Amino acid sequence: MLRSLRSELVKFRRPSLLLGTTAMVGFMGFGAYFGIDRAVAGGGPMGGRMLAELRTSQGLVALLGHVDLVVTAIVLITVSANFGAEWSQGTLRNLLVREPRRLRLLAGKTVALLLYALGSAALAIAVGTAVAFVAANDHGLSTTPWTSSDGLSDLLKFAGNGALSIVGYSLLGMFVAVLTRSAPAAVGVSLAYALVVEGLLVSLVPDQAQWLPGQVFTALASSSTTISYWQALAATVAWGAVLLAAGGALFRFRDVTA
Amino acid sequence: MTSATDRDAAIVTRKLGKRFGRRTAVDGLDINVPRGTVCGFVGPNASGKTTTIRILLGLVRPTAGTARVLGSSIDHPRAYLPRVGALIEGPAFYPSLSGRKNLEALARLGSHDLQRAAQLLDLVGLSERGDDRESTYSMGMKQRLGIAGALLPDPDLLLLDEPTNGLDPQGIQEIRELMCALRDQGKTLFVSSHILAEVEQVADWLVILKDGRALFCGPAQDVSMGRSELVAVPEERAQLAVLARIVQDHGFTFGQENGSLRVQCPVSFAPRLNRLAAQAGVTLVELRTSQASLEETFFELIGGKSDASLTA
Repeated sequence: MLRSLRSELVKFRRPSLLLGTTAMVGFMGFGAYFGIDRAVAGGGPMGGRMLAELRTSQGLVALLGHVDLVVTAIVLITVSANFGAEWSQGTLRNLLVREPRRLRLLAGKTVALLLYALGSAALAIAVGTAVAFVAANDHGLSTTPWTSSDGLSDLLKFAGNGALSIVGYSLLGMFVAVLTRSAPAAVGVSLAYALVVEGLLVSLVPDQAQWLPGQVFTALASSSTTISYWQALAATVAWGAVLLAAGGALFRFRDVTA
Repeated sequence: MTSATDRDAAIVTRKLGKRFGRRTAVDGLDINVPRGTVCGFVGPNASGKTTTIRILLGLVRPTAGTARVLGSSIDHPRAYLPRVGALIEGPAFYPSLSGRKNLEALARLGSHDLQRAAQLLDLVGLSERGDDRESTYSMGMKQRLGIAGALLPDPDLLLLDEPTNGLDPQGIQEIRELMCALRDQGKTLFVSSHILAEVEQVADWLVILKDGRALFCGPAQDVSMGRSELVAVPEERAQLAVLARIVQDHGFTFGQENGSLRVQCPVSFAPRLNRLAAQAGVTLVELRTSQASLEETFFELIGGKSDASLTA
């Protein structure tokens, strides 16, 4: 697995991955600045509510949480495209000739992309936090509650739960790519599933649909009130294991004809 | 049961089969390729060449039969793939990485010396463009990079699928020389190609495939054996009947064409025919041998020239 991981690290130079990181950092930074600007200058009941929230210890986390969905979507796109491209470009056959132990190859690639996704998300949170502090000072908003022990604790929880959520979405992207064996199909299907299919199911059968993978990953990151934190955590771990096992089984036993 | 011959061969397949749904890609394939040979693997489009190569590389699982590569069963590709290099269905690399980085990624995966990437870029004539992105390479350069990738493990067996695709005549010549040099180092090359004239120049072993079955598997020189003919031209047309009788007496078939007799027989019959003709009072003004080319033999074997995908 380490050989596969080391091989994947060479591929981190690809512009598509750099673009993904840039997009995550850009959206987080822009979202942090725009959120504070709108809250301070916007007025109205909406702006007032946002401003009130920003003045609490949870203000920073709430601000970053608004952009979290975009970062998650970028992770899903990048990871599924990266996995799917091995089939689309035909590079998978080269990899499997050099490493015929398929599960080790998949494990190394998965770990590498998880490292990428988590690293990029951490960078995005760091930049978003820095921009939020600068924007808050610019707009005369006190950041003292954010740096209180409660504020820092909330930020750490946000980062930790966000990381688990990103791991979940990355495994979903990996599974869809192994299933579809194509970069465009992997991106299209994973986005359509996460954004459309689950949304429809939630509106049709909310009690059952809240346990779907996208719902529990999001619930974990955003501290949903529909299911408890521990339920979301357990369901995320369970779905992660299911996606890994299903993806691994498909990858191991299917013919490689690309 | 595996015989010693099977274990000694570079590639052996026994009743190998692969079905994709209702379509049969490989159908009871029986071939053997001795070590240290350049084996031409030829056949029309969709004859099962690439599927066979994929089976041998552990990418596709057979639905019937068995195969051994370098003495190990294909059920355990890990036992032999570290000694195998492959270029399958054209080169496939990461377009945004340089040629060098592409090779390094493969070298890390196979635990090969990273220095080898530079050596191989030099070997295939890409050292000056090694740091350029693969997407900027011409088809011929990508093909060379693919061959460099196949050579990374310093393999005992090379499986090359259309290795001269996209190369200019000079590039084809260089790859041909490289293949011969690799054979001289004791390596086995299994080369699938549509270009029969190309195969004819380098292959000393031949496998001809059609509809997933081997029509021929053996030394390249044997494929045209029995497909040679003698062309005998007597001084006078009237003497053709005498010549025909001599040929008939020896059990060979023949045809007449513009005052000449075309005899389907081994080339070794020529001196005897000449002597017998002289004894019978026939003077031959011309006696030449004509060996069927691989292309002629190939089309004869696969049943006509209907498949336009193969060109000499």
